[in-house]
Amino acid sequence: MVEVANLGKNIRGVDIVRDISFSVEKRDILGFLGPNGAGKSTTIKMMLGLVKPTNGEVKLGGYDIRTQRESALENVGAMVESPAFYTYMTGYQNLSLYANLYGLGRERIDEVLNLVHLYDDRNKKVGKYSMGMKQRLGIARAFLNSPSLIILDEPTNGLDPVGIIEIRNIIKNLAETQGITFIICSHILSEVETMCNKLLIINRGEMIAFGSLKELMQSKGSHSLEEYYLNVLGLGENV
Amino acid sequence: MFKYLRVEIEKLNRSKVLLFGFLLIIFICTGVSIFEFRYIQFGISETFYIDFMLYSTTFVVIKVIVPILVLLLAASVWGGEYSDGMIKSFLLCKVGKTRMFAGKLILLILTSAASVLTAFITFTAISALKSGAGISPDSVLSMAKVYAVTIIGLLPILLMTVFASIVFGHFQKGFSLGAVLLFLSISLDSVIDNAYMTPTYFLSNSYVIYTSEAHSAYLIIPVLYAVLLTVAGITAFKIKDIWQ
Repeated sequence: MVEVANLGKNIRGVDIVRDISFSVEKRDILGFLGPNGAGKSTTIKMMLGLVKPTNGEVKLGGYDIRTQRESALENVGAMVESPAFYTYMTGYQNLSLYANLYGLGRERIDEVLNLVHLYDDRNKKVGKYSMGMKQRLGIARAFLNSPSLIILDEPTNGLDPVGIIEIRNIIKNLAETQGITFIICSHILSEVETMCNKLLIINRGEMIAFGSLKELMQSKGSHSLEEYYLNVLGLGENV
Repeated sequence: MFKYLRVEIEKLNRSKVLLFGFLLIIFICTGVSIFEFRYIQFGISETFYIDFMLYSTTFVVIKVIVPILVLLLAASVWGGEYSDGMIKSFLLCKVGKTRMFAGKLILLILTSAASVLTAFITFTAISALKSGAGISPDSVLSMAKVYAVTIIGLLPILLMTVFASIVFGHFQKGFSLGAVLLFLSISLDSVIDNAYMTPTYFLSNSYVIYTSEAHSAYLIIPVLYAVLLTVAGITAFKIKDIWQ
């Protein structure tokens, strides 16, 4: 589903991301962790073809993101960093711009708005949405084209506890029932521990852990993801 | 490309930028005409319509005000949308960079054309009212040609602003650079005779088409600028990393 090999980004002699390799299979939910500035967003942007890698390659659904960008993104939905929308347009109108590009009808827009519980607010201007509502709309946009791979950067940012649980359930349900693969960047370790079956941790641009969440935690004898995370970052004794 | 162009038109339409922009042009054209008739003692003669359309302050609207409005839109469509993260959002929907560039560029050219057309219609209507409808259809056609070619004259400075907005990825920087280049180039056109190489030469001197027979030769420079700057713009956009 996703193959990343020796991915790296160097800007003016500084390695932002160095030699990252991992793969994600169908139905996997990969938790992507790392401290601020570790290179998570850069890695995701390279995976989505927004930023050109200095070296390495990314294949999404078997297509190279550099040479077959449109085919690679055909079945991908993504929300990278804070979702951006036209604030003078309603939530529905914003999604309809993207639906037109995908050639989708209003039924699909209604469906995804229902999925993220925004249907009743669909005719409200996005400028009047709360941060959590914008986040839900960003997730709805990522789901719009019924993708088989969804990449979400901090999907529960700004959501209240009920919203976090709802989004978590939607993700788990879609992975189980529709076989959708997820890559989720998050700082909320408990969220990753509950949702994900695979884990990728990077620090200072380098991959420091990748594999099955359970196996990784067992390998270090950790009882929680928090304990494991702090251990691999070498912060176990300091915190 | 046309799917993306439709998206661009829809979002501009919903923002009401086009409506307010055209209303602003009509308002400015009317204001300039009132100023012209009231304070510059514009006499009604046989050549009133042509004199008014070409050699009065009305042409300042075409040389400065319409370009400024178009540059504002260009910087907003590129620099503004880049820093707001909207370009990133659309690129994630498998819109290719070339298609996006073409869609936005066509939108800007159509808007420039519509802006010049709005100014032309407003000035012609005011002239007709002032002269008691004594304007020949031939004169209107000639002036329509002059105003139409100013759209080509607008292209170099428009594309320079697009290029700057792509490179800087910032509305203020893109617009400022475009506006500075516009004023600098127009100033050079005013002080240097036959400054063919300035990007605004054709814009500043589009009336030469009305008086010169060698008008097609004048087209070479703006077309050359347009081709080179389009290639530069697409290349800059293709190699640019989309961070925001």
